[in-house]
Amino acid sequence: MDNKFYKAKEIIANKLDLPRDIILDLPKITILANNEINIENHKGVVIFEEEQIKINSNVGPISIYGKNFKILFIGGNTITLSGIFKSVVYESHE
Amino acid sequence: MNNFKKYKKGIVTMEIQSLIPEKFINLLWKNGVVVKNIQKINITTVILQVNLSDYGEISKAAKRTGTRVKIVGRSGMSFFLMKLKSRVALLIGVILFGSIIYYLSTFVWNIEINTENYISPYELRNQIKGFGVIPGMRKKNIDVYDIESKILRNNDEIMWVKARIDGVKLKVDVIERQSPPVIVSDQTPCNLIAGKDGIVARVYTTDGTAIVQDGISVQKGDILVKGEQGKEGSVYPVHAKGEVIARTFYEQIKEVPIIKATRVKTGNIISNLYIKLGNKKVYLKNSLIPYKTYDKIEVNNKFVHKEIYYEVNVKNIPANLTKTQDEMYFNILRNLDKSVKIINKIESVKKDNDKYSIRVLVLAEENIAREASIVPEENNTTEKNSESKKIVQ
Repeated sequence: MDNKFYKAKEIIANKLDLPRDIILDLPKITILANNEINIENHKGVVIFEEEQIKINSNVGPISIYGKNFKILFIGGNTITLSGIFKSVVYESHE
Repeated sequence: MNNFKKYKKGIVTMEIQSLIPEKFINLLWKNGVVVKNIQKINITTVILQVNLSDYGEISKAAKRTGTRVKIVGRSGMSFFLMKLKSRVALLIGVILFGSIIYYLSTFVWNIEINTENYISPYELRNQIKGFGVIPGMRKKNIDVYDIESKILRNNDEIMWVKARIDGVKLKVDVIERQSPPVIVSDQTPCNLIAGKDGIVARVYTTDGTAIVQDGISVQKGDILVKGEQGKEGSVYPVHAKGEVIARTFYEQIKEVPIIKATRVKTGNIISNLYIKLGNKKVYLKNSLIPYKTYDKIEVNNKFVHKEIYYEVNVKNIPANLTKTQDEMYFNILRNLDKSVKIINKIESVKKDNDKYSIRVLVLAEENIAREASIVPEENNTTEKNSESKKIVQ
């Protein structure tokens, strides 16, 4: 049922040319070089460690590997991280 | 706890200790608390920055998750204001200082007066005081345009005046009226006499009667133009004016030996060093002098004296005639006035036994007329003089 509703939303967004990230509540990830990452529509911090940060989102958790992590800002539905990144990994449910 | 709500501009840096700090951060996020600069220290410890107004929410969340919160730093306007509250006197002092300075700057404390040549600032200062403008007045009570017009009205010799308030100064600048110079007209009767010997070339007169003609040679002191005018019998004295252009001569004679012996240094040097003990010279360095002719120079320092020998060649140099002639010519020119016009230059060389006698003659044209008062002549002109005196009176 939920899946159907989601699919309907997706079709509408496609047909009407609406921004999908807003309609479908998808995470919008902006990466600036290897030292700043900005994720909108996130669902909270799962792991915050020295070499890994895992952030939950609608498409599954997003893992960021690297070092010197710092959460510059968390509030509303935006999170901004800084640090030196090695990789960004989508760890979807499947 | 609700007390913190009103401090909107305070930022608190806090250290958090809990088993799962992510949980605490998520809880804060879900409660709508904006968190900044989260940094992990170790597995259980995290440093983060939050707004002071959210402190209530944080303490609630801390209680629920069993987190220990330790405040590390505080910054922002709110904390500054809190500190100021305990130092009211300082604040009052600052405000008082500012307001006193501002209040004092609404007065004029100083009057600066710039004048030119003849009017003294003291005089103007007294005048301005007379208008009721004194240091210590309120600025708004001073009308600079009024001061300007008053100064102008009271002083005829002032052409332009500017009075302006500049900071706490009243600046007054004055330009004085420059009256045209009085032309002194000298009407006392006089003659024109010759200032130099010469041969008259041209005579121009505007007043008086010329008594010399072209081609006449005159000597210094001769009358050239007489200070009289009118027909014979009815002569009246005038102030003679005019130009008498005459040919003048400037001469210079110089004797130069035909051959001149000059000593020329060859550049070879020998120096000896010695110390003086009483009257005896003890040489530190002594060498024979191989030169035929030399110049000896002694240098006396405190202890060590020095003798320097310069080798010298004696040369016979023949006199350079054209060079000396030119030198003489320029010597003459240097002493001449700019109005003198040079017409010709005559050079002649005579050879005596062992000498040249060089003569340079410069022919020039110039105005030789000089004003000279009429010297009363003894015999028959006494009447005339008394007449002229009457006219003068």
